[in-house]
Amino acid sequence: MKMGIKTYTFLRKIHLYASLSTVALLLMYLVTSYMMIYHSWFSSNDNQEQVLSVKVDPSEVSDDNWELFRNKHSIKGRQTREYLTESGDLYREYVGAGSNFKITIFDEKNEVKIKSVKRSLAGTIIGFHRLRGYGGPLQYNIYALLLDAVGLSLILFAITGVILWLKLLKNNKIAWTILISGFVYVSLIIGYLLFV
Amino acid sequence: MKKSLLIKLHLYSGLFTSFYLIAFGISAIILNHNIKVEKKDITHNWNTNIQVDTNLPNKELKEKIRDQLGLMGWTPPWEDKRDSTSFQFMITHTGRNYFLNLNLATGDLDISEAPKGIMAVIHGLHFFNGNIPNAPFFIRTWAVYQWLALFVMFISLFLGLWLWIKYNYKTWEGIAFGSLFIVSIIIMILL
Repeated sequence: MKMGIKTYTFLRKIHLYASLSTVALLLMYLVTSYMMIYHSWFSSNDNQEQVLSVKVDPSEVSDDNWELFRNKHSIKGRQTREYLTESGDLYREYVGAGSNFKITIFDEKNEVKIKSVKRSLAGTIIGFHRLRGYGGPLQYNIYALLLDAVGLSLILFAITGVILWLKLLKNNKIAWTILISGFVYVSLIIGYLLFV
Repeated sequence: MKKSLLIKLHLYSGLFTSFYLIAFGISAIILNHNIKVEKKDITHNWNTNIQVDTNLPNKELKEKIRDQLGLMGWTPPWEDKRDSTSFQFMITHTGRNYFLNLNLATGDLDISEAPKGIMAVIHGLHFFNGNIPNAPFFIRTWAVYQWLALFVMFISLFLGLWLWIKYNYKTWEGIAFGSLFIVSIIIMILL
């Protein structure tokens, strides 16, 4: 495979910058992946659960005043669900890395039930791994953008890494053995799951 | 340690995880954009007759049937539909859904297969730990590969950073990417 020095340098820059730009999230994903593999080591008993019933004036939970209500009751996170229950109550859910709020505004709008879960430190760290998607406050959208960058970086530095290796050590038998065995193994797993 | 040895270690560990990284990269983008990649089309129908005690509770009955048919997969209880004459349920794994309809009186069993497609399988590897009921040993080794791939990714990342800092560091890169690192941490704290 012939490659000019300019192309090689360009690919090396992509390889380097792809990893440098996402290193914080990559480290977080690597650490939390192990935490998820060994999830039984991290007890969910340390989560703080609370159910609160609040008497309200209907105007307090109107759309105009909803943000005030949220601030007053420290309801954090991004809204992930909203629907009317069969009994006509309004249900809203807010999810953040470290917390989860399930809110039921009863039909008469004079009572609100707030069920909150504040996760432990381990739960919060794992919560970062599970957060995804655009929408909601600015920081969630920036995080989603970073997540896209991580996805793209993973693909880019795997591909550029293999190309750079071909330039550097294309006659290295150990490298070829590792690459081919990795490819064969992953292909067999995918093939088996696909066809059996 | 010699530079050439560090480069080789970075390279070997990178090569070991390259396919895993690509699968995870694709999966991360699929998750972030909530893209539906799972195919639902039934591609194959077949039937057979089985001998099982149909008085068994749903869970045991499903597992007996699955084992008799030699299928691998989970049997999600929320997919069960049972009445006095028939029992419908699902067996599912990362790559395929099986929809089964058992005639409780005769033991006749209709099976419909819906492969999820290659994108769904690649995406599914993100959540896969090799632990599918009835899966062969070979599939269970994925847990070891996954563990090693993550570990090797750590090594590759640290070695890459070390090589950059030691031999290739430029001040503007340090400032730019250092700032991006700090911004990423601040964003995470704000979530």
